[in-house]
Amino acid sequence: MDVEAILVTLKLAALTAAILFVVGVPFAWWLASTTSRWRAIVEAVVALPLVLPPTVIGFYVLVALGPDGVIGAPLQALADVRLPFTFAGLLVGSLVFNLPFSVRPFAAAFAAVDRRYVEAAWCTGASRLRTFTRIVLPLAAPGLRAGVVLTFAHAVGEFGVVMMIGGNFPGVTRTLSMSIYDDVAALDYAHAHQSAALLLVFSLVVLALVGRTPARDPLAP
Amino acid sequence: MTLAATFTKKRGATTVHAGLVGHCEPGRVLVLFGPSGCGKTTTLRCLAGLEHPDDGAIRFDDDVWFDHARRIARTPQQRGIGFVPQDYALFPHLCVDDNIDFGLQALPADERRRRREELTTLLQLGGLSRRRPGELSGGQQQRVALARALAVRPRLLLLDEPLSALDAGTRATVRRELRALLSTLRTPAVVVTHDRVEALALGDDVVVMDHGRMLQRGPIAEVFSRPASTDAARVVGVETVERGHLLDAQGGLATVRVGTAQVQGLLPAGVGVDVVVLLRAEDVVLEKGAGAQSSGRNRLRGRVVDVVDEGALARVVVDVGFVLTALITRQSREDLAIAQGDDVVAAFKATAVHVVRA
Repeated sequence: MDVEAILVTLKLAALTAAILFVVGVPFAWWLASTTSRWRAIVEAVVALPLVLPPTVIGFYVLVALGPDGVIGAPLQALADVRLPFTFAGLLVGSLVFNLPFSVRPFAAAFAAVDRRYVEAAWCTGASRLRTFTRIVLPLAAPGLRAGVVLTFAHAVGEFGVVMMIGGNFPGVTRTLSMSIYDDVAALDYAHAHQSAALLLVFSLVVLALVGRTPARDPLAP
Repeated sequence: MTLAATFTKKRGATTVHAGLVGHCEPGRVLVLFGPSGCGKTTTLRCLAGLEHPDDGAIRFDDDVWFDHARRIARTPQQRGIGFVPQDYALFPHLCVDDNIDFGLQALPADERRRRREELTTLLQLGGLSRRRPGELSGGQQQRVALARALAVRPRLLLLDEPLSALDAGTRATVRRELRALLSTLRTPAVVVTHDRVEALALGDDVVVMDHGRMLQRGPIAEVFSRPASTDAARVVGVETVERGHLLDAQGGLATVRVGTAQVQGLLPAGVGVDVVVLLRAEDVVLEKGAGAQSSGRNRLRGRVVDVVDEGALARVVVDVGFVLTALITRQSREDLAIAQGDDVVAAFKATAVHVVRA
């Protein structure tokens, strides 16, 4: 078992899920409540990773982060930071690629919160922030939880983006799926089997957990 | 206290033209009455600040809540209102205490507790403090929603169809309790309803609405028994609304030809020759044969066109030269043995006939 690869994978997935929770919740709330005409375009951009091959996303992220890229060039000039083939670069790719797996379930969870509760809270004089933290977040919690779990699970299994941006440095950017790829390339099927079976069982458990999350809060009347 | 709301608001196919200007006395209830889709809920939501009118202004006392021309639009939070939405919208994940408390977070803990206890006593919610809304009866849910709205000491209480979420059995009881509560409060209230019984039971004043228009405003008993126009009459449920021709006007009495019949009614000021006659079904007495005597000034012979059973009451449609509706008890229907095609006499007092401008 490639313990190093497991640790890198878990670290990448946990950071991806955590950052996308922090960034995705306000973003999804905006998406769920805005009447802006930009909404359709923003939604389409968010959904892009669902249909594009991971290698395409990975390629453009790599170009953007590269020494001549729109992000990479200023980063290197200002802070002397190089992102391609580092863990940080890998994380950026993972964040972009997993965006829809967070934002879409979050937005659906917010949209499902009955607006009457929000209005009732406003009419008691409660601020928008208090209404959001005390009413909207708890009522959307099951959906938010499902989004976090899905993002984590999806980040664990990601391969194409990792290959394009992260490269294959053991202990740094080599994830479990990369390790399986290498094992198979080296015809070490027994080793590949161990890692693959681990991912398979993990995915099943996660899906079972998400499936058990009630779509509605059971406390709702 | 004065509420002055003059605005327009387009909502779907209907444009609401609100013209609510008047005093809101403490403990007095103003009912917005009309069929569904008439714009009464939109009006209430504009008062609450949940929606903003397209034009016009809303003022409460000296505060401007909304003014299109001056680009003022206060949020619900800034208006100091209490709002009881339809179906109450109690926060399902919070217990009764936390629901009541929700608007009081600015108060210190002990004051908050004191206020909550006051409301728990006022609304008889003792023993329910840790329950969730899903574990409460409809009547209890309504009392929690009232407590939540009153906790912040609102200047104006707004209630949207407060009894429609209840089943028929508890509705009468809750209606009585709600009326008693509203009249003891120092807060004026605006209640939206489409139910006649509810309006009469809860309201002091009424605004009759239809198709976004405010047709009539006044003390509720007066408006419901003497609607000022044909449209208002239809909305408040006057059964017989017939066009007629003024033949004679003497001593405060009008004689009107309606269809082939003549009826006498109270003569209002300022009507022309073309009038409309309004008659409530419950004011009509039916008799059979010639012997019966009644004090009715109008006695019209006619034929029963239709009989509709409504439980304890029966609605009898009679053609007396025009078509009128009478509401009689099942007992008198059986005593008179009224059936379709029978000849009957419809009797009603002149004071029951309201003559309005066509």
